[in-house]
Amino acid sequence: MRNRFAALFAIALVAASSLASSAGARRQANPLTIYAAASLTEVFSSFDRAQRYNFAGSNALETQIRNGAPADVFASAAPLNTQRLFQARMVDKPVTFTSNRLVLIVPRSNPAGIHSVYDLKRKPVKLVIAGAAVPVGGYTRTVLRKMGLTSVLSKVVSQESDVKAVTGKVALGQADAGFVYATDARPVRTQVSVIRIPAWAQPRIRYEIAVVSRSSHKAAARAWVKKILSPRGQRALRNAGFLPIPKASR
Amino acid sequence: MLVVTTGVALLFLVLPIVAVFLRVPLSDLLSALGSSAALDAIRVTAETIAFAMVLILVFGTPAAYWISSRRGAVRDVVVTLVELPLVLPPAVAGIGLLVAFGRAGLLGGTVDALGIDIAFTKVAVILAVTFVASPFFVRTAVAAFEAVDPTLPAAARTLGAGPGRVFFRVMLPLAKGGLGAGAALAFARGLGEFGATIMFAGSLQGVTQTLSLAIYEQFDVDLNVALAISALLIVVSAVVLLSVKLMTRWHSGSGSLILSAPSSRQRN
Amino acid sequence: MNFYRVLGSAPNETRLELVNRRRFLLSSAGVSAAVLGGPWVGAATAASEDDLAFANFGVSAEFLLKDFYSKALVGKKFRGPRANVLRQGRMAATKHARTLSNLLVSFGDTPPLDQDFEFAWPRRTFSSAPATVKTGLIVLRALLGTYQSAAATASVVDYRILYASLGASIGEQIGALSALAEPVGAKSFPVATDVETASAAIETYLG
Repeated sequence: MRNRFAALFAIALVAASSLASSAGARRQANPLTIYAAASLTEVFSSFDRAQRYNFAGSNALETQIRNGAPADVFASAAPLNTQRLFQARMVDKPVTFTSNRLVLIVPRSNPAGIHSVYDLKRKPVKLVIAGAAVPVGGYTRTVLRKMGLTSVLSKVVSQESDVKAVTGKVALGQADAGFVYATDARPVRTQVSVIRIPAWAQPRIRYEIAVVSRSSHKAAARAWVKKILSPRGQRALRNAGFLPIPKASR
Repeated sequence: MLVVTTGVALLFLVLPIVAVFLRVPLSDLLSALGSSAALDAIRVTAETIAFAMVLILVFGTPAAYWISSRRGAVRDVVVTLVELPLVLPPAVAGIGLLVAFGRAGLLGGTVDALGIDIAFTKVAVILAVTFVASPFFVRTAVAAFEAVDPTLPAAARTLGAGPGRVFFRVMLPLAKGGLGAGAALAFARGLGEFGATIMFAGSLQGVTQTLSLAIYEQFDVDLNVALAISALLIVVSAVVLLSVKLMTRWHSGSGSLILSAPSSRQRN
Repeated sequence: MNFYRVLGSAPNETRLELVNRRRFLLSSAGVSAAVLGGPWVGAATAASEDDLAFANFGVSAEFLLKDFYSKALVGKKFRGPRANVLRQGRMAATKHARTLSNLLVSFGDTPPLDQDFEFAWPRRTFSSAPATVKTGLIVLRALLGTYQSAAATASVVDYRILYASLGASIGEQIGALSALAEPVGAKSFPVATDVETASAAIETYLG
């Protein structure tokens, strides 16, 4: 009986370790673990397939890294999340690597008849935005404040945990409208219509990237950050609709 | 070896639960429970789960009774269908509810025409909770009805009682222990419902943000609130489980009832 | 010292210029509230939705205007006193932007910077005097309409006085700029517009 238990235990261990190693073998020998803002999902995973990614709201990733998550690189959609970790000495000095714009998306069928941001104030609408702690949620609130539309917040029916959840709710037609990055509207462009937000109301969006201090592959992580900042990395970001590094932070 | 593995397993299961209570002082947990996010989540959860439980009991009890009186292929198919939400990943439940009852879903137009607003309302939360929790009640209730000595309803019928009278005066009282246990299990599952709710109903404090959703949101806003709600859910779940144990002990004299699937019960 | 009184009591151009310079220096030092009347000290919560929209749109459009005047000067289609019209316009836009930025700061907001924009003027805008004037008037009229609305509906009297003054300045600029091409007669009642309409009129130039 005891022997059988031991054997089962051993089999389970071997199975688990072989599972882990076979998953690794399909990728590169020593892939980096990159924690990146949800809006970077498409561009990062197609730019470099060899790494392991964890895409989520930058605020959730910040909390995970703070609690010791095994990340090598952190790419955030807002400077706040990287800077807080930098001050806590949990990441090395962050650098700005790209920018973005906010847009309003509505389902193609446009059930609420939203044709401008101002329509949100005039018409009954089920509006979905991200939570205030999520970068895109913060940027959304800045836009509404600048445009004098903060009262529209009373029409919010759900506060999502990242930009992809907002995009999904609108693309499925469950919500009438949602604020997302211009780059998030692209993959769902057959399902949604994009409404521009005027340049004067745009928030200052800055993506920052940093090497995680506890990383055990710091040299490789630094090289990867360089790759994102290189002309090739910047071109990939531009092709995906991201904007060049803002002048104000150059 | 046996002792060691049992010890490891127990430690593994107990440690995360204990850790929730050890991270911050108890007084901090209690004061965090007074935050608006926690209070709103408690209210939303109480309202939605109360509604869901009414739906589950009203529709689930007759369904379980009907299933328990059936044999053969039809029964197996129905039982499988009822049990499916039990093993489905919550994300599948969320997507399914969206494409069925969502505004652009199969029944979206019909529901709209009826004047019912589901999208991002408590109705959506209730639907999600009912969907994932009802199988827990139904499968336990089927087992409870089947555990009733079949000679008793037969005797009642020969004494002239109609089917309704047999159900209410004989079957319900005899099965009530199992039904209660099933209801408690469904309640516990509904309390923890997360995936289907966040996908189908969204998350808005005071409207659709249940306790589980509040934990998720507060996790990177205010960890104390997240911990406090977790502690609350642990306590409530423990009480529910304990009461299930007591209920089954009192009413059937065996604790095995809830652990056995209806399909595995003896049929004769 | 009230902004209205500052303007109203100015007996001559020199005095006004002096006061303006003082206001300019003070406001660039970040003490706009003391100069512009004071009631919006710590007014972060007092700012209405419209106040925020007027100030944010105003700052951005003034940056746009400053860029317009700069590019028009570089275009070299205007010489001598005619170029002075552009220089003074550029100075006014700079001062207006600074004042509105300070107002936004007093609301608790981060004002935009002109580097935040990639201004995009239509091709040939600055290659002839009439084209330059035509484009400039589009921007000025959009701003005038907004300032008129703001002068009527801003939440605090002092804001309304400020916007009336800004609107008057834009009106003067419209007169001066249109005189550089073929002079047009003054409008009896320039129409006040909301920010939405004004924004739509100049959105393409803001990039």
